[in-house]
Amino acid sequence: MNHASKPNAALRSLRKAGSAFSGTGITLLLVLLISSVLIACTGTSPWSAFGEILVGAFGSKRMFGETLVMMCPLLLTGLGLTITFRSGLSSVGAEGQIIVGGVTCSVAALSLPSTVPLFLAIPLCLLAGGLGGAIWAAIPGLLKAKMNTSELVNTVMMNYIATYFLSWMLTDVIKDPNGFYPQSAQVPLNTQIPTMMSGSRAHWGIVMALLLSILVYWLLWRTPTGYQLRVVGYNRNAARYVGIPIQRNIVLAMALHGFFSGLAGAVEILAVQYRCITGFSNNVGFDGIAVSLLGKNHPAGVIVSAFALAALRSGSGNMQRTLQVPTSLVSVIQGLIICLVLMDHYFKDKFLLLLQRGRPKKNHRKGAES
Amino acid sequence: MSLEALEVMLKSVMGYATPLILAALGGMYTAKVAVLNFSLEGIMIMGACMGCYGSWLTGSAWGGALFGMLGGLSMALVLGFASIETKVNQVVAGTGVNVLGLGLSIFLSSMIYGAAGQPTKVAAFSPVAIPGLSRLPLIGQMLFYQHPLTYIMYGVIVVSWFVIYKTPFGLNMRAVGDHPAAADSLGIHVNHLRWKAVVISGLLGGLAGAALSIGSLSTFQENMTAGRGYLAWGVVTVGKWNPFGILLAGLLFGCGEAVQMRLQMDGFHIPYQFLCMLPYILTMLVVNGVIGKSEPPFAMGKPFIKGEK
Repeated sequence: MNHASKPNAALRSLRKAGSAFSGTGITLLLVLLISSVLIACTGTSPWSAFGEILVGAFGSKRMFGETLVMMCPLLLTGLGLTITFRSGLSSVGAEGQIIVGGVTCSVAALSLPSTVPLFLAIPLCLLAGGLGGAIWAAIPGLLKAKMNTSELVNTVMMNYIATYFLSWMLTDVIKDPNGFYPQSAQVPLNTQIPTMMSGSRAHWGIVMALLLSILVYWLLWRTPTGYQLRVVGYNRNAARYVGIPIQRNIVLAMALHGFFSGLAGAVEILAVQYRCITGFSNNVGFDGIAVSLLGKNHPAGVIVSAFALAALRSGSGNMQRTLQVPTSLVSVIQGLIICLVLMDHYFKDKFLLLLQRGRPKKNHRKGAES
Repeated sequence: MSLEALEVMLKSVMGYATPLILAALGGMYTAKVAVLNFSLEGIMIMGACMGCYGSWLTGSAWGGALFGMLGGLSMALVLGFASIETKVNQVVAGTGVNVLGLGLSIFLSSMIYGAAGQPTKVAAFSPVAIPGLSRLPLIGQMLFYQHPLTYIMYGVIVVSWFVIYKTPFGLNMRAVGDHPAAADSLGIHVNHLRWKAVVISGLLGGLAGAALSIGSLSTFQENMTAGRGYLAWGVVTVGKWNPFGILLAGLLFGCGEAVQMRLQMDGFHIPYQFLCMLPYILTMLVVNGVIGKSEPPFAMGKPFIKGEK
């Protein structure tokens, strides 16, 4: 008995030491390896390609500002997804919620009188965006709670419905009456989020997103509401047993998810585009999945991964300009991250098995005793 | 609308429906063994990309179709590995495959064609008239004056129906989909069967992608699937996991697309965007049991772990 358990104990201690990093670390190494091979196939050295990405992301104040601008919607979307994943739901609907949030925010911004002061107008518009996204996301939440149908299928379908909704709004309802393109008029000055650093487009929305990360942490780990959400996520039966209302928590989690995605859309309109245009969501909803998975569904991790992916995105333009490596490489990397991070426990287990096999038996015993 | 215009429109319905139905048939195989194939979009886009490349390389549309199938297969293998071997959340994995496929297809085509730029015209399938039948009034052109991939699709529908409902292989597949543990106890190798279904769906989904790039058009365009992979998933659901049901659902969705194109051309006053939404809304209604409740295979989306109930 005792003998048999010792290798296990060794494995366990190894696992403890490595668990914080090994899974994600191995995954990221794999992602780097595969993308390096792809870059090498274009006839460029991977070193110089990654170097150019770093220069493009951090090379100057303006470039760093662009990275922060990219980071903002990714972080907000990732935070929302963190709440859903923690509640045991897995939504792929952020894209649609961003679109709807952007539209409701634009409608609010365009209809607010220009006499409303800035400090009131911006929060109102942000709130409109957040609520738009929340309502859009609450629909699949309600369907999940009441009919027990997959939130995934419904969110995917609603992404496309949202895309056409945006298209209709831009060609019909909020189309700029003086313009030719399917886009809205510019939002009034009193609703535009001001920039934060001169000489760059970095705006105050980023600070808001960072503050909201703390709020999400506080909500999930320091309040009864967050506790309930997490219990529902861990074990729905246990939640039911202790009397936590599951249906209400499912709808709440989805609505919060939609609120954050909608906010991401609103910030994109008020601080970057200054008007509602086709494709302003820019696939952030799907990239947000990579952000929250890579960040291990923890606000602190999500901040780091949103920053890293934003740097990748904003730096890739520079790589394309100087080395002719196409920016679509970033999309490949993000796809790899989603797939491989999902599977990281598998790679970790395989890696640990390799370690275990590679070690002579004595070491196991030592490991167990220490 | 004149009879001739109606004929032309019906013909275009089949054109729109062919890639959808081919991909949906692929999705049906995975659905039968309870693997949730949300990666059809990524499979199709790689099929379209490689289909165009194969046709450019070999100078023949058939070569393109073969490359397209292999391209689709490559993406399906990622899904298979994720959902069968590592047992992760299949929809998130599928989304990852879609992001990956979209990026890879653009990356590869800019790499393959280089600075010379994308070829604007590669060898493509052209419509073949079936003698006699194609002259039937109204539906003759629609059913029997199409490119060869449509005829292949007819074949796949019939063969799939036979395989799924009349052969031991099909029976095993359905058993695995409804109750993998019971199937396992009878000596059916659950994961082998799931792998087979994933491979079939990759090949069919890749062919569907090729039907877009070298069937309807003769070039590859960035994001040319534009959500058709997800629509195909809707077709599987509305078609209730049955080959003939999928044919009807695919035609219905194809109708939607044809009517909407027509309205857009005519400058009709209903916002066409609402028509575009219809297939997605219909899928939602069916999935949520509002109309024609359809029950998916029982173990849908659950990975199989030997020894667990």
